[in-house]
Amino acid sequence: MRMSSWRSATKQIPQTSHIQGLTMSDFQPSSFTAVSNIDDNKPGHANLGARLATVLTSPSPSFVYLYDPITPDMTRSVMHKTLASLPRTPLKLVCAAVNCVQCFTARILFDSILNTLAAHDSTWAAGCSVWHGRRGINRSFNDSLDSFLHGLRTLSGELSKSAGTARDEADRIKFVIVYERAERLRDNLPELIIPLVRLGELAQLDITTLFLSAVQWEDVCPSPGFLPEPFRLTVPALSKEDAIAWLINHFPQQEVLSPIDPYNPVLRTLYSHFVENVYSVCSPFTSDPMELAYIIRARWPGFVSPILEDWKIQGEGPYGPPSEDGRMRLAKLFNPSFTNALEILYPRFMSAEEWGAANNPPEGFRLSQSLGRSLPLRNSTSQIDETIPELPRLSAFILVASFLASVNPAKSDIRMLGRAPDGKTRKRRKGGGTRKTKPGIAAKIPQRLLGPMSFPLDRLLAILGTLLEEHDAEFRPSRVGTVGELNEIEVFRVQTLSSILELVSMCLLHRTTPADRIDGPSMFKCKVSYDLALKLARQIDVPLSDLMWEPN
Amino acid sequence: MPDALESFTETTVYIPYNGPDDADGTNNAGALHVDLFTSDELAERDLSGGPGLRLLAYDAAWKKCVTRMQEIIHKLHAPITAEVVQTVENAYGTPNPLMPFTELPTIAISGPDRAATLALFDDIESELTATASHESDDGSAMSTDGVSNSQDRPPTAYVVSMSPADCPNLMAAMKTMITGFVDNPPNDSEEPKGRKTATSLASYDINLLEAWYDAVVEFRGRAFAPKLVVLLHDFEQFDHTLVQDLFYICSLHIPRLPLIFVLALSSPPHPSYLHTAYPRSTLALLRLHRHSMLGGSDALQSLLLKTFFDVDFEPHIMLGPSTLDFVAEQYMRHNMSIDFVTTLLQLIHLQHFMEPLTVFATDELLGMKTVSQAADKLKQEESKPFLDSLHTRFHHSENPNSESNATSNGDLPEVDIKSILSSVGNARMKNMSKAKKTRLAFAIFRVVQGFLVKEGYKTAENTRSCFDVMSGCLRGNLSRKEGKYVAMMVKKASAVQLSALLAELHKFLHEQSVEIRRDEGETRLKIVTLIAQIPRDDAMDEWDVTGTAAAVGDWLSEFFSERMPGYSDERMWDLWYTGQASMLTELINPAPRATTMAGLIHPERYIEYGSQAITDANLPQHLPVPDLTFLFQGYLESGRMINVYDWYESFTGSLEAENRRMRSSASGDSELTSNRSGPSPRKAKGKGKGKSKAVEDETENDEEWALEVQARFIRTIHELDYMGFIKHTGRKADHVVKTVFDLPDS
Repeated sequence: MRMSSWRSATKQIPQTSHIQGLTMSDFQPSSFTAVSNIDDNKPGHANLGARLATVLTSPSPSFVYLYDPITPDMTRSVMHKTLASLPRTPLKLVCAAVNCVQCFTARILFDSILNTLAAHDSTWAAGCSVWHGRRGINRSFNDSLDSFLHGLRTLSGELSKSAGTARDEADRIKFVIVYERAERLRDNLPELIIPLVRLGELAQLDITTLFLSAVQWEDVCPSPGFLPEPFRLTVPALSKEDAIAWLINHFPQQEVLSPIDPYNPVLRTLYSHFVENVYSVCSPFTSDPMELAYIIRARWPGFVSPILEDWKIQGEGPYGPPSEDGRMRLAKLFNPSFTNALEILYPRFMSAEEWGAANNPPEGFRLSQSLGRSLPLRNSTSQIDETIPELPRLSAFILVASFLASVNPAKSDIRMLGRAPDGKTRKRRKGGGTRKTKPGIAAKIPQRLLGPMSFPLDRLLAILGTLLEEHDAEFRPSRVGTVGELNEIEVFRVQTLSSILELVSMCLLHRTTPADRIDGPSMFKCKVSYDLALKLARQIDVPLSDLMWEPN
Repeated sequence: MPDALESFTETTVYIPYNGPDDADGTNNAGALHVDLFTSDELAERDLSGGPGLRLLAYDAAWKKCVTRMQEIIHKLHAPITAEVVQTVENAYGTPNPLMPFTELPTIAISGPDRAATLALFDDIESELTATASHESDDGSAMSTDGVSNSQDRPPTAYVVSMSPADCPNLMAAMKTMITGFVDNPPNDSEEPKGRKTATSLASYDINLLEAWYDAVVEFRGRAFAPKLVVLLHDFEQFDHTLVQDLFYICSLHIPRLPLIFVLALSSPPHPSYLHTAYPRSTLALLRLHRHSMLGGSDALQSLLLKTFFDVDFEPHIMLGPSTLDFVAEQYMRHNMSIDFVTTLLQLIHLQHFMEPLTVFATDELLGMKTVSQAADKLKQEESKPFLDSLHTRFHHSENPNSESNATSNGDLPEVDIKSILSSVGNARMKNMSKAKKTRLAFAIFRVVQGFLVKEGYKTAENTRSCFDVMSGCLRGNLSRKEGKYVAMMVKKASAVQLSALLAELHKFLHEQSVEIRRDEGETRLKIVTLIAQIPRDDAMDEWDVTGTAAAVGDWLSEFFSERMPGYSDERMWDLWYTGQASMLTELINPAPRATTMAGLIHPERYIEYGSQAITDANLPQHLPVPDLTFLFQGYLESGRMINVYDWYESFTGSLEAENRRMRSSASGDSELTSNRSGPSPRKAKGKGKGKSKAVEDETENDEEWALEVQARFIRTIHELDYMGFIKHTGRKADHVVKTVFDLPDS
């Protein structure tokens, strides 16, 4: 496993003196998870690393704000690498990186910072104890900000002592604390932002605070003007060349066990062309290298499978990359699928693995025999939305009634659904005509463009009763009573009301009033689309378009 | 114990259950005596101790039925359970070299039936936490004696279940998840380490989970390290932002912590709830595996087919066709939940066993050891009404056209009683054997139909719904409709098709149990005879299939009509087939609003005056009417808004009229007394006629009466207010708004 190998590799780094220099294990290994597989080479970010190193090793500033709205994960990775490779002399840097989503309480935040700075490993055998200094086993530095500051000072003192640099002012310990996703501090720990920024002053220590965030400092800062202006670093988006180079670097370098493998180094050239093709097709929609890498991961095994099939037929090696003509043919075959992959994979309608399996070329499809053939595309977005849920008949009626209640104005109900005493339906408005609007008055926006309206439960039940009367009469096993009488009882039965609540829990209806409010009517909104409502209406033989005030 | 109860320091007292207390105060566990409810009408002709005996019979029948149903439900879940377990086992395997980051494996299981999803989660949990792996080398399940080579293997995964109630905020959610895992000791030998609250990692800190998991890995070894599975019930009810953070935090710690999330969704798979409710940044963290539960009509169809139409299973009580229709209608119309069907079937069983004669449903021993003892029991005086009804029933089924004379001659000789009991036994045997034959014929019909559909004849498919076909089979019209059509199609089959069909039928019968094969010897012989008419492969082209095909078709047609007659042909059939169940509607789907209205308008139907309940039969003419009814009548007669003063006036008028009516009837033979305050002291209109003292008294009484009426009005109007009939808007002075209009006359 790549991650474990990385971990073992990092553990081999001697942890002799974390004061003199920073080892990889000084950081939470988990922080690297998202980018663990990325190679060391990060084209385009070399400048960033150098600038970060300069800023962090210089005596000032004490507060750095790293802003990256596009690729924060990659920046995080670069930053970790930079911290690990900072020069170990003359400064005695001790670094810690904490994630502000994970550290959602002050206690976890303080524990994480101190544990990481002190390189303390909380093991189960030792009762998962946090770092408590050398002297006081029962002391805790996590219960308040004061304790934390005290902990920092204790730690600094202990580290200085162990390094024998306590008296040398020039070789003081410098803490670098990185807060990833710093914007979450504003939600979780707003009261701590100011102390964390001014931590060096409060603790009387040399501390550099670095906030890494995808939002601007102004949106995180609690009270502008009160805090020192941070030293800002903004990460630009990767250029096309850098992104492609980064993606190409991704291709595994090592030899594969079997030569007939999509990751055979022979295919590296083809891979470069493939990456360029994918980039050119997908970059107008997303230029996030992570997303492109995700699409590439889904498409590459299928893309090379015709070549591998040829190799299988060929038998013994050596295997060579395809010719220019073969490459063109592959591009022609697979280029249409890139857009499809983007449409499906970017919103994660399917996972890369699932999409790859569904869109691989058929078994035995060879490049040498692919002339004039095309590959079918499966699982496009239109195909995904085809199915409708199987609902009880009453629930389908409730949904159709709620759709009507949401799109029709309440005043139109009698006209659309009313029935005269003689049993005939009232004259309904015929749709299709355009309304005459007076000049100078803004035309009314159709309700379907405004979204569903909320309606009270009584209205829903009234419409439901009418629909049941008109379109469900013949499905009843027994029919007694006069017109409307049975439905009046039917719509207030327990199952009807529980069906409504069931639909709310299924997110097909939305309850706009709080569930515990008993004063006043419950209000609902329909959450099904016009298409789904139409399909459901067809299922129960209700002419939906005729019942809509403004048919689509 | 009393000391503990009175002590202020003991806030909670646990009283262990020691079984029910008998009347004499002695504890006698297991002596709980419960009888089946029997209406007064039926109790008249019930056996002494009949309710208890019928309860036992019901218990036996229902247990058999529900056990079978649970087995079927378990089997229906098995494919998804297996896939989930497989996904969990394969999670965090070798990563793809091109994958830029590790995804958090998430399994989303959609199914509208939440109870079924809950049962599936139980299956998944028990499967994952089983200490011994179920997969042995030969792929078979672990041997029954428990001896397995892989018994010492650790569980595939540690599982934690979380529900929305456990997670009001992120801290609680993390704490539930983490403590759920770390409560398991990481190794067998060691007790969990005592953690000090202040100096250890917080219980909601994921680093604690990491520390615990490192200890687990150290003990088990990397190869046997279990996965960590989190089951999220009712996923739609979780707070979105909370789950986003939860996923994000967990994704920071994979694959070091092999976390896998399993989500129970009750929303439909399309449009996907996950994609509408969660941002892309969260979805990008997950590797989603989606599964849909078998639901809708298919689930009920397989449940009913395998419970009541399976050749290998013989229920004590068969569903009658009308019950079958009722169950299907309720399921398809109101509630597509297997739990609902289970409740419905249980109620149907209970209702069936309310009939006194169903005491014979499982045996004719009447709780005795021998038939003679049972006959003795029937001979007793208190069993006479029961015996009469039984005898009438028998006599009637033997000679349906003759007049019954058994009731006039109550003293039957013992021999007769014994013969009746043995006839009951025979009737049960006959009904059972007939039902068995019908089930086999239905199975053969399905085999033939399935074969024809497989061959591409779409017209062979059911034109009616599958539930109608099932009830048609019991009613006896299947053989005339679908059965006849299928037989006709077989007559037109080609030589190859016919030989394949006969081979399939032969195989089907051959695969049945020994008992069925013995009973169906004749059918098998017939099929073998027909197969014998098929020539060898080389002579197949020259074979004229028409004759044989016609013979097969005729045989099938005859077979269906013979084996699937009406269900009510046998004697005493109603003891083993359930009857009308539509009266259960009010029980499972009551109409509280209509009932409340009916209660307000016709209180005499609901209120017990004295000790006697009023029914339509003994409805007296002059009953006191509750104030609420008067007020409600005024309510119904008014418009959308009600002037409260007018309402009060009308109420006063009604009360006075009522008083006059009560006074005039007081001299009559009214046995029922009003439970309200007595009649008004106000006398009839007679002002100016009496003396001045009388006038003073009258005035005083008038004032008292007015106060009383006012008080009663206020109290009653508040009752209506509490019940939600009145809305105060404040738009118009002294007016309230109605909430109920156009009441149907119920």
